[in-house]
Amino acid sequence: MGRVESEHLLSMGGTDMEEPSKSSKFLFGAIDEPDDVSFGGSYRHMLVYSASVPGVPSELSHFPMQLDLYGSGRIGNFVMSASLGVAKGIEGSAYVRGAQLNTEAGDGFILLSRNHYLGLWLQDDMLLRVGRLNLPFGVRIPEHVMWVREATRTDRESDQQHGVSLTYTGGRWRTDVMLILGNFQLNPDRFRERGVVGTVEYLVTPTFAFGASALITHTQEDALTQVENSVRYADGVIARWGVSPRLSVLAELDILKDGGRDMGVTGFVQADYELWRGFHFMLTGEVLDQGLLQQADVVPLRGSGAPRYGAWISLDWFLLPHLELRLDAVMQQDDVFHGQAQFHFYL
Amino acid sequence: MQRPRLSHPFRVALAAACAASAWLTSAHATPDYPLVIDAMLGTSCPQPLSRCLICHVTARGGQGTAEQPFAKKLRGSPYNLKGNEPRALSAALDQLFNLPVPSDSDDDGESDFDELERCGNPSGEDLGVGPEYGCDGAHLAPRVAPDGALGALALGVTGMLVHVARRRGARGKKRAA
Repeated sequence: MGRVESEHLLSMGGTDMEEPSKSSKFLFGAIDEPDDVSFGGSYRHMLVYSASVPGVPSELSHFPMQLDLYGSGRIGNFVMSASLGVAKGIEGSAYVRGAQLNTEAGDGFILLSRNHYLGLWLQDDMLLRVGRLNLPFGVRIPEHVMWVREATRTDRESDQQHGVSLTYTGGRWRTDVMLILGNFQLNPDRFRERGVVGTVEYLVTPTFAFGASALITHTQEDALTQVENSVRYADGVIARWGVSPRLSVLAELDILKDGGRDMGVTGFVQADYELWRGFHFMLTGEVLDQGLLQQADVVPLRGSGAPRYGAWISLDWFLLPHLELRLDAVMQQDDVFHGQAQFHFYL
Repeated sequence: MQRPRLSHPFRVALAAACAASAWLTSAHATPDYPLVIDAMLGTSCPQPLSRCLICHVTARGGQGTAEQPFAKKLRGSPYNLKGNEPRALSAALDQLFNLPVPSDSDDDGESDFDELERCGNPSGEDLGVGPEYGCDGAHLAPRVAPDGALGALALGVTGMLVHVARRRGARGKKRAA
């Protein structure tokens, strides 16, 4: 579940640990998990400030962004894993819905499962999985509204799809290829995307990895745009660089082609500087051009036929095991300033 | 713990970020516009995600995607509508709906007002219902209201069973005494 790594690599005080502390375990070590079984959970609460524009006052809102429990188990070479969460009042939102389990939405609660799979270790470094999985495309980042993840529809918030994945992590190579069978939490079938997605990454030096991703899907009717017989693809390159023990850089650049649009581009660069142990200062720049709409009398707009730029200034503080506080200032062309504060508690 | 001093490249990066933030234009998001339309027309249209496509080319919305004919009309003169301006949208719709010649953004012969009033699409062909989210047939709440007669029967049978059990218990105590 990543708690030990979180304490060792992220949280304040973690550098001094020689072995995982009891508090890094599930429920702070209150319950001993059986061998080969892991449990976890995540609660994220988000507070968003949207700046005013003439005639419209500023707005402050807060909402639970994630309330999930998850678990995994291993029997011999077989593994299984699943997440189960709840959300409320999501009618009209394009987020979360893809992971919805029950069909009611409205103002009530919904159950959701972002990931669930059965897996088989074919070798020590090769895993075959079947289920609802994160799409292996680009840099896996938590900022699901960042343009690289939104435009390619590959975030880990609710963009997962059902399919079959083969993952290999051996030596300097890391590859993950997935056959997309569609999101079976979306009906009817004509809205389900089918295709292939994959990422291959090579560790050039111990602190620098470079890779490439590709995705191509087809759907009878695009669930978001209602474009019929839609083919969309994205191809890109990724880089992860540990410049120094305190400074790291992530980068991604993708070309896009959505159904009903010309070719576009999106990308980001993020520098993360650990000011002091567990306290990170991040600067992110991003760009998006989804491509000009293939319609008559269309002129380029920022983000659609012309580049649109954005910047994030972030502070991320892993102050205790199981606890993260994060502040983001998000500035994107043609949008108001957004200030975000996030409280993240994980079991 | 000693607080580290900021290195020169770091200070340069910070200054660059501040400069970038000053350069980025403060502009406009688009909250709750379907609700504004509903409030103006007294409608309550289903499929709110599909209705995003009246103005946007994707149900996820966003500023760069307001490219449908109805949105283009409202962005143009004299409305000059931008995002995140619900009051300005109300004013623009009020103006649009009271033109001497009714506005028809998609030139299909039906006015924008009439199309919106019947939950149609003033930007083109009427929108599909869009996808249904959730596993097919999965519900948290029971789909069928509880059957009152069946409930009464179950209650009656349970009552009888409890009564019989209590009588047997009482007889057993008498015998024991």
